Amino acid sequence: MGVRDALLTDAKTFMFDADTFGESVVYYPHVDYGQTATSRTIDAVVIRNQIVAFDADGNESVVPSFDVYVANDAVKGISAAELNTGGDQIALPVREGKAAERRQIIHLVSQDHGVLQLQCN
Amino acid sequence: MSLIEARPVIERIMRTVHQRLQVLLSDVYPNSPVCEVIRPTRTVSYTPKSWQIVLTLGEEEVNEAQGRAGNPPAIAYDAQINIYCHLMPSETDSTPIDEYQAIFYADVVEALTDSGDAGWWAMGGNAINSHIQAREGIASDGGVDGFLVPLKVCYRVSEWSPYQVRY
Repeated sequence: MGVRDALLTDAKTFMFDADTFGESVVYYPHVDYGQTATSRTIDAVVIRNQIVAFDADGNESVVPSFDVYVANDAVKGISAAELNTGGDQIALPVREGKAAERRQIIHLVSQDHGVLQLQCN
Repeated sequence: MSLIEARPVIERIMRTVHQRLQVLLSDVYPNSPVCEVIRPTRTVSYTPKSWQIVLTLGEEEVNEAQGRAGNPPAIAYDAQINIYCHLMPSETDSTPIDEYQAIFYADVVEALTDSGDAGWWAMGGNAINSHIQAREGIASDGGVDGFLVPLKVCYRVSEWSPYQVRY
């Protein structure tokens, strides 16, 4: 195993582990009508933000937004190949200590061989 | 006095619009599989979904020309009701997004105007007139997110009571 493989392995196991920086969330892949919904529990690092959004009249409101870092992996995280920003959801607590609720994956913000950065609203 | 009558006129109009749009949740409009019609709470904490409608009250302005003298006088307002129609189909969906938008817009217009009474624009007897404006696109970094249907509603109330419709 080379250094590159070691770093990828570390990223997928250490960084997202619920005992270190991560937490367990549930990933719900997009399903078309008539298909059976599936889900799987994955580890992720979730950064909970409040961002300013504007409505049609230019009025501001502050809304929750989430930077979610997951392993680029179809088992431990979400693979870039399977990701579908047209319907994939992640169930996570909007606030620490609250019950998890499903949030839509809006954007794939950044990606590399080891990690995907996702934006959920 | 029923609960709905206990609300100001503009809130009764909002509820009327909300109620009409909820028809899109049924099988009456099979081409528009609307999943929910929501009015955001203070924290605006909903998550966007495909075929989702979000209803908000926008700016209101006094309409001087539609005001009426009297004791008390009647004040007319132009209110903009924002109907956000979110579309986020699958990345693998080959249907042109314009086609989905055209269908969604058409069905929203039909749902709004199919009131069952004489004039859809009267919003159940609460408004003087209503106009559906041309849709405006909602874009994002990830492509098209849907469109906005601005609905202009003119209503008139007693200067002393925003609960009381004035004709």
